Amino acid sequence: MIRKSGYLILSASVYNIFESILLGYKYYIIFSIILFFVFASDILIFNLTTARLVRNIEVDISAENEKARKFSPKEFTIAFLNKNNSPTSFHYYVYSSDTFKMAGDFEGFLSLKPFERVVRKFIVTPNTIGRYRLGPVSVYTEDGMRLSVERAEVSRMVDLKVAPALSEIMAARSERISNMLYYTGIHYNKKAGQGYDFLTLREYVPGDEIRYVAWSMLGKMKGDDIYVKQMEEERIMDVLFLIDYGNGMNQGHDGKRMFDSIMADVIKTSYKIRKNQDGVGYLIWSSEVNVYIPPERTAAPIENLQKVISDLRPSGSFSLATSIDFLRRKIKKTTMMFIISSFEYDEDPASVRDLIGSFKAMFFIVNPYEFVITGDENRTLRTTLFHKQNSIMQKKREIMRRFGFRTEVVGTKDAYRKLVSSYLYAKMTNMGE
Amino acid sequence: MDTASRETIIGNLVNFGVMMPAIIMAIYILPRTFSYANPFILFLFAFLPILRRFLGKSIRGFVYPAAILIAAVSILIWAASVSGAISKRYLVIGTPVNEPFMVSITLVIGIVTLLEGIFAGKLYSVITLMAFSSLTFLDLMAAFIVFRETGYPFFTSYMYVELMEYEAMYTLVVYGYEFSLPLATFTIPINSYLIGGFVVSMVSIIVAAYRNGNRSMDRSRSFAYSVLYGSILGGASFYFITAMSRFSLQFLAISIVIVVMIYAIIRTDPGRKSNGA
Repeated sequence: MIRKSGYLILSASVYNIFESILLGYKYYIIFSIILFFVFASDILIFNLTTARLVRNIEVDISAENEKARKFSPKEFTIAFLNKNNSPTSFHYYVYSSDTFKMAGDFEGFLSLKPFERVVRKFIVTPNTIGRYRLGPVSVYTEDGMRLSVERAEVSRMVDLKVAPALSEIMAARSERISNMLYYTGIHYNKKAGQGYDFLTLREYVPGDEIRYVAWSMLGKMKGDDIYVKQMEEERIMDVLFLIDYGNGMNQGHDGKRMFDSIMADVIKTSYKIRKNQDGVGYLIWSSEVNVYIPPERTAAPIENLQKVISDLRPSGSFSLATSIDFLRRKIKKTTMMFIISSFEYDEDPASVRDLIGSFKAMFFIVNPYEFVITGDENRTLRTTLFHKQNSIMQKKREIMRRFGFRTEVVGTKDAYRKLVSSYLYAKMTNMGE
Repeated sequence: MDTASRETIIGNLVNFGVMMPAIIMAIYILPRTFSYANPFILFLFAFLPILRRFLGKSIRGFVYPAAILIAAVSILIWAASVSGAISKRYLVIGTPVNEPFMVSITLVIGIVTLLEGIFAGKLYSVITLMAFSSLTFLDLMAAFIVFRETGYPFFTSYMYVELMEYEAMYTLVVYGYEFSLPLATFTIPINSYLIGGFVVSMVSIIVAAYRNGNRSMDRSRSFAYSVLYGSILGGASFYFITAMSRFSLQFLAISIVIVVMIYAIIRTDPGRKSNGA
């Protein structure tokens, strides 16, 4: 394939020839004709020799498995085999995603003898969750004057499923930190009833079960008074995260993407909820993605979520109405819905309110401002967005609050805190069963 | 000296070699035609390529438009003065559109493209600018030779050569061949220097192409073959064209040669089949 510079040089040479013939100066005509043919011969010889060799380079790209974790380096191997009868020199590079930080021999120059096999290794460090493709490997060679290039994509593509980073979710799993931060004396939903923990004493009334009589208190006050123990009834709450996984959540840049950041916070919050013996479930929704993980009072849904999101990327559009319509048929009315979206799609909030009806829901609007690219050169863009975005966010929040929903605007720094505090608010106000 | 500056200096030296025919023609023609040009236009544009090098990148792009604007304003002042729209005393700063103006424009195109060619970074720019510069100076050379050999006034000679070129183009379009070639009719006095200049230019272009290429590969063989086959094919084509010139069909002959070569390049492209072409 002739490069742009090749076309320009050939055009300049042809112009030279025609103009020289028009003037009729024979030495200039000879000069310009030879010039044209030197360039044209260079491309022709390249097409007939070197360019044909790159298609006979066999390349295989491989890794131990297709699973990876965010921020954890993963090693890949590329094997090159020259199937030509002559030595072949070429450049190569691996097509990758901007969510990968590459290191090692993922690009380079190789000169292989006939039937020689060479292996190169490189490291990929993903910085965003989801399923990504690595490869194919592009092999290219150029003519001596760099007027044309021959390129061949000569390997298969490799899928890489990136799960959330352990560093981002471990804090929530740590016994010490979670207990210290949120769970010291916050079991607000106390109610007398069936349970194992002692709550208080009251005077015996006929019909009380004999097994609850507090024999140690018998006759303590009046001589013949009987007391019964009242036990604390555990009120359990299921939290279902309804997460927008449409294109509206695919904002941001390498290392700081909206869906990635929110998912890490959702997982952390889920571990907190799980620690409090409450159930947690998920609905990941868009026109392209529909994953429902029913609420359970075990760690299984959280583990399942991590697997699911490592195989997905936001795509399509999001509709709150269709997702809630789906959920209404799946969950109980006592389940608390945490609806997380950037709300980038036009939808009538009133219809959403009617759909939610007597179900319990809290809204979390993700602020896109925090995912705008950083750096001095983007300062003006950021300042403009800051003012516009803030007012839009506040308006969205006000609309949802007016309909009676607890609504928060969340970003990278406060999403986790606001999710946990909303959960605690739900517990305090006895929203569970 | 750092590597980047050294590369720039070597690049400029190679470009100097590429522009050699234009430089030789400029050395010959400038002192002889300078007096027939409009000095204002000549000085306004001639040093712009050098001046641009010393200006910041942000204003570098405005240098030529600004100079053209000044020239246009000066022409407008002249036109307004001549038509009586403004006072005649403004004629001092006006630029008349006459023969010296046309000569100046030709000289300016030659000088500016010559200097820009020396400082150009891309090989195709250098070759295009070399063509522009050489062909512009060749025009003036032809005019000067006509002036010297026929005894016509310089401006008449200049117009005569221009008209010959237009006639060649006219006959090419209308009759399919051309018969009035200015430089085929007259002999250039610095032929031997120009032949040397073309050789230097050819060598410099090959050096520039080599420098432009991929340095991590061994390219000596492919380069040698390109130059060898290019010279053989170029020589053969030239004789073919010369043979066809008896029938005034040089254009047809060279067009066939170029089309055949480009067709061969396209047909042999290995990527053509895989792209579904």
